[in-house]
Amino acid sequence: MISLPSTAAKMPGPKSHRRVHLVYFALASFDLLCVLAGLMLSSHFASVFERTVDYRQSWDSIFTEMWELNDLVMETSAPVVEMFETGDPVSKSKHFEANLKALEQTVARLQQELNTPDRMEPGQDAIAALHLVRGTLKLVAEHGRSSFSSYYNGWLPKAAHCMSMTEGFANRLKHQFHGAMASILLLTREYENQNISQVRNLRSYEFLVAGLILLMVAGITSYGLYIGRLIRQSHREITDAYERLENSRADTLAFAARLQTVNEDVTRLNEELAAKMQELQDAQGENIRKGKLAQLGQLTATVAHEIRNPLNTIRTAAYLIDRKLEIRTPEIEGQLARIGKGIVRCDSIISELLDFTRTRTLQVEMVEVDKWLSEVLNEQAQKLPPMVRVEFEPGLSGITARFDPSRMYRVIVNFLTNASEAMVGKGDDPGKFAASEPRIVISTAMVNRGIEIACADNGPGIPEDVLNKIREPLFTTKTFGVGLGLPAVEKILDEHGGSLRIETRIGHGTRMTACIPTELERRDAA
Amino acid sequence: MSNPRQLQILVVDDDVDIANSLAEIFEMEGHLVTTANSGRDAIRACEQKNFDITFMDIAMPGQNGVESFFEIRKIKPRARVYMMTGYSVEELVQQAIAHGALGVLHKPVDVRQVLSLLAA
Repeated sequence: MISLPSTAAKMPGPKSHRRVHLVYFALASFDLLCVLAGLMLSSHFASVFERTVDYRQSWDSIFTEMWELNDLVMETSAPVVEMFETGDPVSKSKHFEANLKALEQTVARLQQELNTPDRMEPGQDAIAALHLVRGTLKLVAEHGRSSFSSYYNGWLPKAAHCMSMTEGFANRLKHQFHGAMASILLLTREYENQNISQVRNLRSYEFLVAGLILLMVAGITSYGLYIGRLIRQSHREITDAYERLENSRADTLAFAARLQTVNEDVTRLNEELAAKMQELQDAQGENIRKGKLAQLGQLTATVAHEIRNPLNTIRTAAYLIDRKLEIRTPEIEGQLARIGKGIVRCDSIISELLDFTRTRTLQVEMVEVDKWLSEVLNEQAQKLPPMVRVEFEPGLSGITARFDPSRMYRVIVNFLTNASEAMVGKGDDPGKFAASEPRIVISTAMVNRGIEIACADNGPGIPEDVLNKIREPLFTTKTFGVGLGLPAVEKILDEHGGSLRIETRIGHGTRMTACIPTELERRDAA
Repeated sequence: MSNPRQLQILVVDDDVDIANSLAEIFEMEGHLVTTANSGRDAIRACEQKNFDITFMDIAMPGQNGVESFFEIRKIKPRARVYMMTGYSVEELVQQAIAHGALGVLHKPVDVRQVLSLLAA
């Protein structure tokens, strides 16, 4: 028993493919997100670093300037004091003014730098401290200039007072300047702290991003493994399915081949069955026909016996009358001849019936055809009307064939009778003769698988409408006979496995050929 | 009417008319004829007399012509017998020919043919 592939292999369907695509799309989005986050983080780091470096540089220069100022601040009041020691108010005044100017400019620049909008809260303290420094610087400048002008005018006590006032304000300036420096230092520290905290914040983000990336890598890896397993499984399933498909294909082919064979067998069996049915039908028909023929044959045989006995009596009685007649007249002789013809006619009817209805098995024997036929013709030719010439053209010299001579005898008799009657009727009325020189030629020939015995006449030929019916039982064109002559011939030939061939030409004659397939033996002429 | 070749002839037929008319024809030709209307009568006749030639019908009630022929052959192995029949009972005819019957005459017999057999 061949099983056809039941169901398709369990394959990842379009749904699971869509799921894989979705997961990959999500992973890729996540990946992109992580990368973007990383980039943002590094950009933040870079900007923080850049800003830190910028501020560091700017604070470094500020501090450098402030340290330089510190010296100037420490020496602000020095030219005033030295004026008293040197007594040179002019040069010292210039020195004083130059210091003041430098201080003024530097503090103003520091103030401006600190006053940038992104400075943080502690910057305001430094700006305020520098504001105080500038106020004190104004007081130092005012009292110093007053000291120089007083000294120059000779007002020494006032000059000395102003000098001490200048020194006093110079000291305040120092303190205020140191305070401003401390504020700025605090400011830088706070700013650094601020940066450090910002960096710490960013580093926490860094961990987050690293965690996300790790998560992403783990996700991609595990999903890759899962997909790999899925692909392996799918591959295995596909391989299995392919194998199953191959197997089922082979099975299907084998099944188809067997189906074909079975189909051919069935067709052959059907044909055989049809042939057997036909044979059976034929056999049944044949049996029925034979059964009917057997009954008819029995009846005919009985009737033949019962009629031929009185016929025999009539014939012998007629012969005796003929012999015992003392006075012969043509009328009496004519009547006797009629009796004789009537007997012959009755006899031929009985013979026809017997030929047609006989169903006994053939009594076949090896017969030297030409010799046998020659004897039959010699005997039968005498029974034909005298104007009919019978010629024999033997073509089977020395050849013997297997057939039933008594049955074949009836065939020859029928051939001769038919040919003769076609040409001259009963031979008693020349006005009705269809041939001026009635002639029958009997010939024999060897053919591929047997022999042929032909009987040709030069009669009127057979019209087509008659030819179509000539083989039918009880069909006759004669005013005498029952129409069983040719059917009987066909029956006898059929019993021999042979056939009857009729060739005719209107106005030229007819040729009837008995074709008999038979075993042949060549017997030496000796 | 005497015949230089006068023959003793036995005609056997259950049909009395056939037997008698044939007998009359033979007698007319100068032969001595005995008739029998059954196989049994024919055998009895053969036991009593030697016949030169016998014409024996095949289809007869009781013992048929061929069986009678066989019996006669037992009594007279050299008996010359022609069988007569209204139709060919082929098997019987073949048996008779095989056992030495001279031939078969088909009814209605041709009288001239029968007489020619006597001359042979």
